[in-house]
Amino acid sequence: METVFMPIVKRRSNTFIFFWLIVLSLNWFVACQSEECVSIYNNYLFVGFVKSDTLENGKIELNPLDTVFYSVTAEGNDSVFYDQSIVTSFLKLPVNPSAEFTSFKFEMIDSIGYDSLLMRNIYYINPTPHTISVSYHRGERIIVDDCGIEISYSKLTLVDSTFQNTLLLNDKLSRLNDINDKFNIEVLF
Amino acid sequence: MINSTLKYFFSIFIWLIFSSGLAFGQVGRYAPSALRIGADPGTLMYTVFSEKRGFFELESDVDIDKFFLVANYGLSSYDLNEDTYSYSNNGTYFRIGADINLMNKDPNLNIAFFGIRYAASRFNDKLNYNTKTMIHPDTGWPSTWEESSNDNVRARWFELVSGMKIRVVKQLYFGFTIRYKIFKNVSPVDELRPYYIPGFGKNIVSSNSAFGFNYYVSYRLPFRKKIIYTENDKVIEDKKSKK
Repeated sequence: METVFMPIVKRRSNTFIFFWLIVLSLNWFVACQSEECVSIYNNYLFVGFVKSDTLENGKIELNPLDTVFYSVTAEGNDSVFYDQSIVTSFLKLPVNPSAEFTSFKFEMIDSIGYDSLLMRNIYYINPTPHTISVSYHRGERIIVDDCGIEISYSKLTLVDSTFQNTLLLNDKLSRLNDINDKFNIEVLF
Repeated sequence: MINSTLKYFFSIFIWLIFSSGLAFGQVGRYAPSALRIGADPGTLMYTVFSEKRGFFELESDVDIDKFFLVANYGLSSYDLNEDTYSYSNNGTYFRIGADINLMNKDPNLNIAFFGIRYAASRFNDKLNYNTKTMIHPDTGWPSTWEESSNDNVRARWFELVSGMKIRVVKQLYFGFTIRYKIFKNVSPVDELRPYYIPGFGKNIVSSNSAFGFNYYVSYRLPFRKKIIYTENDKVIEDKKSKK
């Protein structure tokens, strides 16, 4: 059998080798694009607080507004994400990874007094807290076997806000928002 | 879709037999000379050695001079069980295509081929995962087990293939096929991105292509003696075919 088999293989071998050189080259290129255990997604909603300033030439400019909250919490979560010890113009709020809807409660400080006996500030809280409710779409994937799961949060929708002017600027939750200072939601005072 | 494609392929096969003149006793050069049916014995190895993957694959081809019309049909399962998640995937797939035999003048009917395939699969998959690993502990959200699944997902792709089929004894062949799978396309899904595509392999984000490998043990069922046309138009008949 081999006496017939070998010469025919030799005659055809150039085409055969050429084909596999191309295929293996493509494989080398593809193999370089290996999957890494990195995810750009997180479950943080970025909320920015801004105020509008009118410039001398009449133009309106939006500037960060440093704000103090008595507390910022989420429905179904006992943690206080921000309290009166933090002064900031933007909040990083974790949405519920087990649901597609999260409602945040913002307790605002009306005024601050000082108790000289206890030697500490007294915060007078506005009896009507503000809320921002968002819905979002979760997408799941296995990155690779050993890396585990990645959840992406997209199609963010502003369901409800008791703040007077609230804008949805960016509908994806991502680590890149943190790096690039991109708000998902902007609240204009 | 798979059933209709197989019916279509079978119809072409029947049409080829009759249109080639075989039914009227005339044997043209491109009249089909044999049907080869085989299976991938690798399924047994995966059953024994792999907890993740299971499959069963059949292959058949029709011998038309130096060409082969090829069809594959397979059943597939893929399961992952990790501490924080479990994934299961079950489905079927088929491939249809054609090969060209680079050893078409071999009187022993050994085959070294390359060819192309169109492949498609349909599958269901399900993911159960714990949100624990994805939550920063400071955020206070409780960890829960979540479930996400897809039904009737469709995928298609093309393959460049090459391989050999060696006639071991009488009409029994052992062979292998190397596959380069390209232009993967998966039907849109709502939440869960399928991690595995039956017949294709892992559906990772960074690549639309994959390599594959199959062994085959197959048996050739000749319709007639195969006529081998040499370069000088001399005709050699396959001595081992009984018809």
